[in-house]
Amino acid sequence: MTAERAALIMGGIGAVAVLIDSSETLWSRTSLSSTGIFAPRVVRNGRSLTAAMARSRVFSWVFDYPSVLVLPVLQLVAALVVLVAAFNGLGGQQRTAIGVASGAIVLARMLFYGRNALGLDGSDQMLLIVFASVCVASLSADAAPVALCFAAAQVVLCYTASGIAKAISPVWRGGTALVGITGTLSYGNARVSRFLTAHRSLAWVSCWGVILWESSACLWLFGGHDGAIVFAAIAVSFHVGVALVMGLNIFFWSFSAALPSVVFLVDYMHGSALMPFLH
Amino acid sequence: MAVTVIASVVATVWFGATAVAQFRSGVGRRIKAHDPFALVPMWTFFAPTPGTRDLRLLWRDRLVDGTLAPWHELLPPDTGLRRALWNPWKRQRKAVFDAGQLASQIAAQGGDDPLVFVTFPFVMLLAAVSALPASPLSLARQFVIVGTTGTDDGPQEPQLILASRWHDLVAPEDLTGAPSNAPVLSGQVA
Repeated sequence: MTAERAALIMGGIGAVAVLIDSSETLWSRTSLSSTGIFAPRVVRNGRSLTAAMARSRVFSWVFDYPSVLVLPVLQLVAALVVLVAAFNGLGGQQRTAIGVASGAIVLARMLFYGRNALGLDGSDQMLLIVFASVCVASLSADAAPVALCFAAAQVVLCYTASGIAKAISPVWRGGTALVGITGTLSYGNARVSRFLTAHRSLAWVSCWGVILWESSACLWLFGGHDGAIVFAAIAVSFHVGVALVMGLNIFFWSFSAALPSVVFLVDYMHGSALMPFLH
Repeated sequence: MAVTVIASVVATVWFGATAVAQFRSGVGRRIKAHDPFALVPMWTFFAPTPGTRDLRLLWRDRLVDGTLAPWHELLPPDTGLRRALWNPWKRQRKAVFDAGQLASQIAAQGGDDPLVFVTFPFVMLLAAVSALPASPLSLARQFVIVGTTGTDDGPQEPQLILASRWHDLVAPEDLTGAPSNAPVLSGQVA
């Protein structure tokens, strides 16, 4: 997979994530107002850096309501630009449009995260990584491999760190973690929890399946193009399950958006002089 | 060429900071403390200790005749399958969870220190419940964080994690100056 195509696919899938996430933010906008959990008078007094931002003339609008709504609206428009440009191919104009719109998404999201320090999750950070990479890859053909290798490295680190953290956990190794997680109301599903409680051996196999698959993310890099595709397919299936059971809908889109970078990295590695040495 | 060099340096620093942050060491914590834009992720989802209980934020009012109104929940969990496609309140629920967890950790460390009640996560939760509409008969409001396991009709009893003091409810005028029926935090601990 070429860098241009990988960036295009990443931008297109990531744009869907941004469209949904920004629409959700606008839908639940009252939470950003004076009567919400992210009320301006509260978030202005967060971390010292945030408080300094809130006091500055340049950034104070980010903390006010309704001016903060500029951020999700800007993201909506930028995501639409990315989607339209992505569907129109790999031309120079399209790449420039994707690069500029991706940069706007990164800036808007960074300001939004700076305002609302609590309530963020890994999908938010993965979207930053995806769009920072797409921005650079779209605006500079020379720097595209660097940007995509960075995104791929983050994906591999993400799954590996998550797998190792689970592997050292007695709860995960003992096979009860998924029973506990699916038993919560916030990230669970009563039906799945009851099923796993009744089928403890399946719960154990599921826990170990997640541990082994996530921990082995590095190894898939040596499986060639087909191995990378299989890895990506398992990851997408995993995130479909996570979205259905745990309700983490943006994780599916943001992590799916990042996966083409892994395919690019594998193809890039296998086409480089480094590969015989690695083997 | 210059763009490539700059991109390489930024990518190396960003990735390096992310890799170090995974270890939850002193350096990792310092990196996270100086990361207001959430650039450095923690990739250890639900591990090593997965969250197996919900943190719920409940509030109630004390009325003028001294009686206590029933408990209400701020942002009750959404358990439908629709969440897989559309989950607009997840960020707010996560914020309640994060703030509840931080506030209860600070309270556990602080013991009887009243400064616990002016920390950021505590004030965030208090401001959220204080901004909710109140009956004209309500004098004061209290919130609690409780931990629950499983469904509400299950056998497990809710566990009280943190209880606020009673906070007076005052004039129905929003701090932004806009008229509102919502009470605001008086700043006085009852």
